Amino acid sequence: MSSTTTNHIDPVTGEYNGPAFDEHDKRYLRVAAILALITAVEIAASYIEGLKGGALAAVLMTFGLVKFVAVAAEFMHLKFDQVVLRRLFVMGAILASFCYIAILTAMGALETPRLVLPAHWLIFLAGATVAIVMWVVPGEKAAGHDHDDHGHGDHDSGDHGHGDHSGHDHADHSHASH
Amino acid sequence: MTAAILESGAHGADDHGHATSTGVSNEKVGMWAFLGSECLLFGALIATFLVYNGRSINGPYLHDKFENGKLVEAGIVDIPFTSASSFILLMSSLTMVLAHSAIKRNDMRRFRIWIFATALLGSMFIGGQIFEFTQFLSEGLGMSTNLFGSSFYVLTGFHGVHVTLGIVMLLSLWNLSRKGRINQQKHEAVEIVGLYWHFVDVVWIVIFTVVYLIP
Repeated sequence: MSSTTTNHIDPVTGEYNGPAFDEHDKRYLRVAAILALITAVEIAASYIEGLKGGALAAVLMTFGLVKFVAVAAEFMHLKFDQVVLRRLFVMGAILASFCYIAILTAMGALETPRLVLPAHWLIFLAGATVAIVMWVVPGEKAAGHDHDDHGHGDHDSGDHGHGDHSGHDHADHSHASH
Repeated sequence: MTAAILESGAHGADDHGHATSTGVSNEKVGMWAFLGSECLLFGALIATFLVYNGRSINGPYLHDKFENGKLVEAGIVDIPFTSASSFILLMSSLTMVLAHSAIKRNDMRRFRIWIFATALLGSMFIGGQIFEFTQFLSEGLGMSTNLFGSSFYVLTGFHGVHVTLGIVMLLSLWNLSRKGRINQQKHEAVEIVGLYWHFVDVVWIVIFTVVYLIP
């Protein structure tokens, strides 16, 4: 818990009596406002007469992926949490992409011209790109973010459970075997 | 499920540096592994929908059907209505994360407000989906009417079931909070339920784009 939060704890009841939104909440509100804006643009784009076929699919898929990554990174804390969690999730997404291609192939995508639509491959390529980026890009340490308080160790090296965690008070608990 | 998560959450804030090789609680890793496997389920359902999309030999269709530039049959989808329900689900992710933030700072009153708001928004989304299904049925689109009907109902129906389960978990947390059985020390239980809730939201982001917006 941050010191700002601690200052707002009622000494009698032990309950929080500070402002409704702290700094993290304000960040969440900003992200939600951006997501709402993107959704509005997406819907507007689907009504544009001149935007059709592959171009429309590309625009909408791009917006969709931005929203997907924003929710996963910010609301699901993947940006701040351990890399191992992100990789668990991304592994599923990568396998889902292969599953997608397998089904397309099984249904004759390679023989049927109608199925070889740019949208299909765009979806696969976009999904695979995001998955790879999410896999390799190191996590971001948010100053004062509660996930850092937990002594969960390194956010970017990926060698969890090893090495020295200077500045983390609970290293003894998290590395009992060492 | 919530009770099991709650048990796990009892270890939550106290043992921050969980005595696991990853430094993360087993329950949280378990939820992420589960969500990874859920990607496969929805990946398969979305792929099936896309493969069948446009292959129906008879209507009704979701979007307007054209032949040689002429409108053959009008689509049955109501984009503004579905957009509104998508927006509602998107905003429920915000209230969910605010609920988690509130319980972490021991603001139990606001936690109850936000968690209930999340369940309410989820219920509104499900209400909208039921209404949409009813409309489609009245337009003559059943599960076995055509390829589009079967793939559409299976995909969106499975998602709806996930949202419904999420609502049950949210209301359980709200009820446990009212009884004083969940508190700041057990905030990880809320985080784990939150992960599930955000996941159903991101899946809907994909479904909404692929199924409803792209003709």
